[in-house]
Amino acid sequence: MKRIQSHNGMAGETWRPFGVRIPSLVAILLGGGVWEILGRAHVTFLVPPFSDIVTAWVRIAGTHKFADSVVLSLQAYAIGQSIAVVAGLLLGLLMGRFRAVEYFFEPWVNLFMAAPMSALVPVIMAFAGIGNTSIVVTVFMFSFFIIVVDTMAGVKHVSPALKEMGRSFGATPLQMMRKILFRAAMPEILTGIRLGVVRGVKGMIVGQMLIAVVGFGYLITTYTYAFAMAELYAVIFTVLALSMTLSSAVGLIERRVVFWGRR
Amino acid sequence: MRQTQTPQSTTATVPGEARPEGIVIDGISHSYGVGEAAVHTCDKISFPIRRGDLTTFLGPSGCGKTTLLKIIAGLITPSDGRVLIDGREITGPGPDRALVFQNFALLPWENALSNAAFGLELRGVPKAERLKVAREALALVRLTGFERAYPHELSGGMQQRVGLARALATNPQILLMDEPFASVDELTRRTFQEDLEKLLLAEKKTTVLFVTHSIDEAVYLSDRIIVFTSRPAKVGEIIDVPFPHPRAPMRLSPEFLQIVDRLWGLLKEDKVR
Repeated sequence: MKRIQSHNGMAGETWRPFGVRIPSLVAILLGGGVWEILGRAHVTFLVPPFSDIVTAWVRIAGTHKFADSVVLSLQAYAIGQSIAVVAGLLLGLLMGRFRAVEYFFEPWVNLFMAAPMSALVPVIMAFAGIGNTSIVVTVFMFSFFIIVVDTMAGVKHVSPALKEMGRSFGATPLQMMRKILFRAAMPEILTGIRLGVVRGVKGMIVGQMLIAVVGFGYLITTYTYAFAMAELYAVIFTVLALSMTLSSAVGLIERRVVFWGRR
Repeated sequence: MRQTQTPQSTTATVPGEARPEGIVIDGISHSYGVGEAAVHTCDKISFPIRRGDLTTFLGPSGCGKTTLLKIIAGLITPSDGRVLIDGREITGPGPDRALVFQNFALLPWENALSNAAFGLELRGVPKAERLKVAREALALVRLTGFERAYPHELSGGMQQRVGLARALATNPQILLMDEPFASVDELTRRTFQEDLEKLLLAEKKTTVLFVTHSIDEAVYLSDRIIVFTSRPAKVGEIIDVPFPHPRAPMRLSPEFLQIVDRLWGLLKEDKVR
């Protein structure tokens, strides 16, 4: 009986990636097809045929304006996101490890987790000006807190047995942090980063539209006011692709690092 | 034969000597929480443990015997009393002791070899050396060939062997085992008991404290059994098991079963009360 069950369990696991991947690809293709038909039927000028969007993307992708926007955006994003990951990890680890640090920062972290971040963007602008710095700060603010919260949760939920094991073999506080807590919290940490990088992209776009109209925000704003729908969608899809690539890249790291299965 | 004592270990049974050898549990009490809600897990426990012996703490589940083991390991500070090792009071974990955990407590991201070497790694032993020692320890617990396997690829019994190798690699004077076979199946348990017996027979000098709720296991492995009554833990009786090792052939002998029966009687009496 037991053997049959475990066999079924194995089969279920082997098939799952297939089961997820194929329908999602089909769903996207189907959606694209419907879009194309709607576009060709000229239901509304707001929905140009999908093929027009592809052509528009090819056309604008070669322009300086587009290239400059992408470079500018990615620069701000990379800086803001890197700071968010490093700082988020540090604060999360400390909050998970030390009760006092947790008590001191938790209300603030919760406040910012609950806050509609976009509403804070004008405040960020007031502090950091209308330059690229504001975009960096916006990316950071959108991404930082979820990384803190997940890292903290990961450290707090490390099995007491592992902590006792470390203590019984004489682990120093630093060894405990580096060799046990940090590693054992890896599943939650990487989940936090995966959510964080997507929020960071969101922050970048919001920042670029509300503060300095540069980069992708500039492109989106320009094309919107010009009613250049094909170009607008081309930009939106570019941002979407960026966001999804980053998220699946972290997902890939997740699967490689957390090979032993989640708790 | 483990029951034949060396002269030194005999003197250890006399407390209060100039340089007492062995472990002395001296008036240990422990409770969680405060006031009305306080839960007493140990109540004024005192007894000596001889060097080189395998001493079992036997008692019903949740009777506080694991708490006492963790107090000796230095992981829990008792509310009252002290533990002396060779006359010195312990204040925390130390390199003279190594613990084997009920739930193995292996690092899931490290392979068997690195796990077995982890105790040494924490003590700053250089990599080449600690891996060499860990490899030897894995050989002792019959896991040669599984060095590169990760815990999730090993059975429960094999994971516990890695846990034992990790403790042995640090070459402890005192080996503390907290229900090490509780999470493995009966067949693995038997093989493991026999392996442990052989291992300790070859390594006579290690003092072993072994927590279990299995009467059969206690009689099979121990030189001395401390029977605990349930919460708060008190020492009910101390029983010496005088049989020579290996004991596998005498598992069903009348003498063996007589001790099993006596322990069963003691524990049942406590349960009824």
